[in-house]
Amino acid sequence: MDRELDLADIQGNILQEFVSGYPAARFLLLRITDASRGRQFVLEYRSKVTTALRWASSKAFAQKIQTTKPDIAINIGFTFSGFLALELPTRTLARLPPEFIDGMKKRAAILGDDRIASDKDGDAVQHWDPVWRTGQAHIIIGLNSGIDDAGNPLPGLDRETKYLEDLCAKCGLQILRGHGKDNAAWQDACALLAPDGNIQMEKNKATYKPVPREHFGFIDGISNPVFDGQFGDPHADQMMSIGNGKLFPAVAGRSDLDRWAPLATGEFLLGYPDEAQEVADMAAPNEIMRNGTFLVFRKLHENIKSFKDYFDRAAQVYAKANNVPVADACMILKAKMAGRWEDGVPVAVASTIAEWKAFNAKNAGTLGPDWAYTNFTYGDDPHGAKCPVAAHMRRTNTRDSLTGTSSALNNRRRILRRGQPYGKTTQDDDGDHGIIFMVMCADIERQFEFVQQQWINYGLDANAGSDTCPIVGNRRGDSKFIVPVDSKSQDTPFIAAGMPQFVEMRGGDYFFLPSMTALRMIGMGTIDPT
Amino acid sequence: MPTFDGGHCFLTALFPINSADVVDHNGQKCSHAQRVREALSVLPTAHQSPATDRAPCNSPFARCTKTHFARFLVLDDVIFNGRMPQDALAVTIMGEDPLVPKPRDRLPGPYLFFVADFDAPQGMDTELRDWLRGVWTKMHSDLDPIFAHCFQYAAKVSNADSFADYVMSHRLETTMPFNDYWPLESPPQLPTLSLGLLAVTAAIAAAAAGYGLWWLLDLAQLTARTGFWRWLEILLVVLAGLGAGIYLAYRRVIKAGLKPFPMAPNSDLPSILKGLYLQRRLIPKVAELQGKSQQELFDEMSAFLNAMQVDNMQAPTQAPGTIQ
Repeated sequence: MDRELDLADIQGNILQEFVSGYPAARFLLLRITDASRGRQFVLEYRSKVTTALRWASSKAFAQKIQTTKPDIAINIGFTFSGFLALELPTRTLARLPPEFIDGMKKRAAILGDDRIASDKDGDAVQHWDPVWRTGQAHIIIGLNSGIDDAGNPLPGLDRETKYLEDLCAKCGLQILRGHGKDNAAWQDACALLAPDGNIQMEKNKATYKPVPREHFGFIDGISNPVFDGQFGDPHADQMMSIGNGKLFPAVAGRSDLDRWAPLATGEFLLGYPDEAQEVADMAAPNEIMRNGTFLVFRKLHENIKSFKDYFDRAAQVYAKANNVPVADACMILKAKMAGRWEDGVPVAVASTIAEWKAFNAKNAGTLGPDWAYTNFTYGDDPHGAKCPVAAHMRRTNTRDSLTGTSSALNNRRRILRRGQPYGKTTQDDDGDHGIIFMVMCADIERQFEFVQQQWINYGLDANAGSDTCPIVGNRRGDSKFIVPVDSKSQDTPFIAAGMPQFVEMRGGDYFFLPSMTALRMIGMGTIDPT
Repeated sequence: MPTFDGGHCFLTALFPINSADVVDHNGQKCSHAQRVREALSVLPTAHQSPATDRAPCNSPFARCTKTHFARFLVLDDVIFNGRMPQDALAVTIMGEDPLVPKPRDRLPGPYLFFVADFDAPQGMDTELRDWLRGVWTKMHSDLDPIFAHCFQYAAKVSNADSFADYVMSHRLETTMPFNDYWPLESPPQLPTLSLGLLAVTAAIAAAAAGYGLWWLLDLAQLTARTGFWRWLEILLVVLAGLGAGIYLAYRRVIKAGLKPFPMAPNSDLPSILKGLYLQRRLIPKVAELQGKSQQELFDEMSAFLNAMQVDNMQAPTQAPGTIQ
């Protein structure tokens, strides 16, 4: 980008994910009771909001340090009803996108949330946490914290929670209860923890470190879109875009790394040209939307027992049909469905157990900004003999799969993913555990909803008919997933059938994450759309 | 690309809706166009999407085992998209007054628009007529409330034959049908135009036209001139030849383009429905048999194929009007 982004104006969790720096998080939903006092809240709390200014970090490209890392990183978002409660001008409200006005509950039919297997009576929200079911939320606050050696959030998290409670009481905001099964006042989330091998001698306790896995056992969040301006200088953006940006057709004699480029800023931040080379329509005045983006918040429950039992069962059949050990069959089936092996190795690069082992021997210990995990394409595998076209990762980020040469049909469907596990990994379906799945994008309908509707809960673009995503798709009785093979080989395709619902919604909504300028305008009540 | 293509008929028909008077409906005065829209809004849609797959009634077109697709709509008028852009300087020089409105196209009244795609393997009008007769026989009580408000329907239509006459007298040529039944893996063998042959044809036409013009000029004793006029004559002869050559090549390309697309194998509706039926049952069966012994495979697949009656297009099969 020829001009730097105004980092002091953009909320901090948009340009970078917070999970690695802040493994613990707490989400609170607030309800405004009085418009004027609500604006006072926004104005006062604005000073707490973490911006995108860079702090010292282990990230290779974050070189220009502009601020110190906050103890607790804080973000704020608003629902449409929140904007209504804050009495934004009608001319501003009327031009906001329809799906944002609807909110997530009303979009259940589009998102497929009303067609999960356990929903016999078509009540889309019967399994949702009460706090999301009522659709009362006006504001979401995200508090992000580091953890101590025992794996607990730092004391700052409770301190900031207390501050927020006091400010809400002062400004007449309700903190909505009804998260999880205990009617909690907030949703806690934390990266999964693993003993790091050290024992603190004086306390005789094991110490823990966060691991980037989710409850099913997969390493998660390896790949994320990279956009122009995200890392501060064109060289850094270009380097980070390899495997994560947009892909151009190959040019003879040029390096494959040069095929990648950062996506247009406007796909993820409002007020900038997007991949159609136009600045998307925004509610007036521009300042209320510019440097902001939309947040999709989904609490996704993971049925750990169903997942494990299913793969144990299917692996027996696969092992028998393909004459491989059951343990290998289980790993192969999971990898073919996810598009990555459990440890994140892409199936497009290593499609057999032997190749997987060879990959790990070659790339030992390099998980991170390493191109081996992200720099791959599907052009040489049109029928999915290596990585099935309908695998979770390939269908949601199609790379060059749809054209065979470039990512032209993928570039306008990218989403920034900010997932964070909640709850403890158990061996059960019941309980409160899963992923707080957060998505950021400039256009919820074109980006997130398209991916969810067309690529997750429908299979046509993956040449899979009505088959939904094998991992996160909804189930309508006769679910199946086909593991294709090379048609020239002697191998037989495998049909994995009768998959239960692995992932279920527990609630969520659409929010807008305004810029610091917009927060000030909202707080001061000085939005002039004329 | 004509109305008949790929073994299907792509019918397009436009029916003027009465606009002269109003009708009394349950004590309320309303226009014929309103009544057509009301009738269409209660015509059941096929069980084709999550919005309708649990609806109590199926589309009446599902009673016909030839119809792939059918749609009605009301066309109110052509869209006026504002004045054609003009160069402000040109307008000033021409002395036009930009405040004077430009003429714009309008339809004389609302039209009922009907499109359908159905089996017509021979590509003949008799097939269209048979289909229309079938539609009338199977669903005229559903069609009456819609067509009753169209021009001359009540006066002209009383049975299957008169319905076929009525629709056929209102049809338009379909210029761009969409037929999606050819598998990507085995595309049809299409007649191709050889570029060389096309060039030879064009060259012969060019030579004939050029020579003809020269002969005419000669006959009129106009070829004796020299200098500038001589060169002008040669230029005219060359241009005439070129024009004739290009025109003939163009005609041949257009003529070839008008040839109907061949019918895809097994693309009539009963075969499509049978195909879907088999597909939906085969995959679970294969999933169930994975890992079984050769003998078990043989026995179970034999029983399965017998039960499926693969060559019987009529039964067992999937009901029309259902997309799952």
